[in-house]
Amino acid sequence: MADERTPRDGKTMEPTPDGEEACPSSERGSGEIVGKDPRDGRQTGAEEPTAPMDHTPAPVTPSTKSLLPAPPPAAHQARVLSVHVQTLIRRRIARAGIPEHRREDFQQDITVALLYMASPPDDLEGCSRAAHDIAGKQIAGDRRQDFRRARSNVGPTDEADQHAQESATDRASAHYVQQAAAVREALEDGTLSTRDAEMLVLKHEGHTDATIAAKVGVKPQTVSNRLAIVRSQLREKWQARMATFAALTLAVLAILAWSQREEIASFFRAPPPPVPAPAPTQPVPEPSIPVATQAGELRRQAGVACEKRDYSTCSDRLEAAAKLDPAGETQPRVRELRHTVEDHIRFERENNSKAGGRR
Amino acid sequence: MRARRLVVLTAALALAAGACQTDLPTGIGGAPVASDGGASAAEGAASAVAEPPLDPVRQAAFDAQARADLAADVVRRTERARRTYGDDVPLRVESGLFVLVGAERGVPFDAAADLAQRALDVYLGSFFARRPDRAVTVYLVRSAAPFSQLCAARFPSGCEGDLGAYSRTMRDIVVNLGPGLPTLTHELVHPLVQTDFPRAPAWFEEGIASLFEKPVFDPPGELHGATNWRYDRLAAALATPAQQPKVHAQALFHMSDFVLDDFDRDLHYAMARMFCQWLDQRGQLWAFYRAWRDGVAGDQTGEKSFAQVTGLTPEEADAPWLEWVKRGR
Repeated sequence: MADERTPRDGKTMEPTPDGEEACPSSERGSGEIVGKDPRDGRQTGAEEPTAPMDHTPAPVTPSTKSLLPAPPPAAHQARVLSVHVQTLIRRRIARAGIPEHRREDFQQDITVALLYMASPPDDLEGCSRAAHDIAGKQIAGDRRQDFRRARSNVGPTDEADQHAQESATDRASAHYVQQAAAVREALEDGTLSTRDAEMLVLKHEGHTDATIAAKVGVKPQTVSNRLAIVRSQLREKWQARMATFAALTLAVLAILAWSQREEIASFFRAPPPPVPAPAPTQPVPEPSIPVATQAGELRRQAGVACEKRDYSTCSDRLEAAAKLDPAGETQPRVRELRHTVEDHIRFERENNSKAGGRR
Repeated sequence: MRARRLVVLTAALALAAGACQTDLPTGIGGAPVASDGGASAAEGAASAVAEPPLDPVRQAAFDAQARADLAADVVRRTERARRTYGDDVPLRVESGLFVLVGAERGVPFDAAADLAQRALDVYLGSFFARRPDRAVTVYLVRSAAPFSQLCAARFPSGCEGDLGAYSRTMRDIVVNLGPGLPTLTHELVHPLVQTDFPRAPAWFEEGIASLFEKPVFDPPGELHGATNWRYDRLAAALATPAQQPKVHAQALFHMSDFVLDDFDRDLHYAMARMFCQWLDQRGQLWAFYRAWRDGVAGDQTGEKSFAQVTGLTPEEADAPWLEWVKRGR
């Protein structure tokens, strides 16, 4: 695991009296230049929006003068305060998603760091590149700081509320709960002794191995070894816990998937072909039988009736057919039937003879 | 199915040939025209399926064939008359249907033919819708002896009486013009009713025919019947308590052909005639005729049609009819 405190710009790290590594001189200097309000400790620069506009460094008071390095060359100062470089810094900060109310602080910090950098570039292009690098480091450092605050759960302070991002806090909280549970489990099963736990806490709080060794009362090498062993053990426990958790999650998912298998199957199933929209019902005309066909059927029935010597029915069918199809009366078959009816329907009265003896 | 196609194809070929030779004295497909006992031919083909719907060309061919068959029938009857009575026999064809033959010397042939022509003009022009497609021979005599001889020769069952007769199968009319010409107008009605209203009961057919035993062509173009000798028979019945109950309209509507001819035949003829005359005077005879003819399938007795036309049931018609009769027409 890379040490986040390793300087990347080649600056020397100054040990603090308590053994902690110090910030680079440029970063430290920027914080002092902006200054803190002695009453609430807030950065005063954040409340002065006009500071970056006049491109004038904050006045150097006699109390802080001894902490500052030599003033930058005038040419370098002019390049740093040029509109080009300042605009570049502002855009870089904006691109990084720094909240609006903190951008002014960033602008000042980066400007100061650029002014007092160890080897100021000789041209505007080099100055722009340096501004870009310093801005990137500032932004990365700020993000690291946010992440640490979330992990250490520093409590309801003004700083935490202002700087911690909600999403990062949430993620860290969940992560921390799991880690704390793993540590608690290790303490219960004896994997982690109280002394090891104390060393881990101290290490987590940022103490060096030497400080921890001094507090716990063991050799620094022992602290280093114990921390490595304990970290390894906790990592294994953590991995086992995660594996169990993943297995349980998979089991639950499998059960859920089994119970919802129909829905899942239908989800992967090819969508059914679109059902054609019901067309409006069109009135379908009744299939009409042509009158000639109807007449033909009636005449066929007449033929059957005449064959059975039912001349009345035969006549009725012929008359009905004639009403439907008068033109068909001259068909040979129809004429034959007509003649049959005429000749036989009153066969018993063959002669229409009148009685004699009149007058 | 194959047989049906064959029949249709044969018929079509025969029609095509017949349409080109409309003057042939033959029937469909070369078969003899069924005028003399032709019913047997029709019976034999009764099981055949009716013709399918026709196209105009085939329809025109059928129409032409029907006309040709009728013309051939007329020619055949004319030739038969000439063969029987000689080439100088008085002979006229009226309305293209009736072959009038002067079958006895001295018969008032022209007067009879003229009367027939006038009557047929009204019959076919106003009264009867369907025109016969077979000819009728009308033998005209002026005495009873030739009448009886003709009846014996032409009618299988002979004739009753000595005035006139019509054979439905032979399609021959024999009329004795001695007593008077109007018997001819009576007999001419029978073949026309036979074609136009074949289900008409005998009482109605005889009533209409008898109505024109005394035809009145007044106003011109119309034909009505005046009171004739049959009225006396009806009046006598009404005056006789034994026969009076028989005289009512409902008796006519339910009178079978057998009853008409076999019991009180003269009275029944008289009742039918006077009933038709009463309707004719009311201007309702032919409306009743057409209503009954067109609706006979559902109104076999004619009472519904009568009520539809006159607004009276036969029972209700009794009173006004008999009052009209008693009033002396």
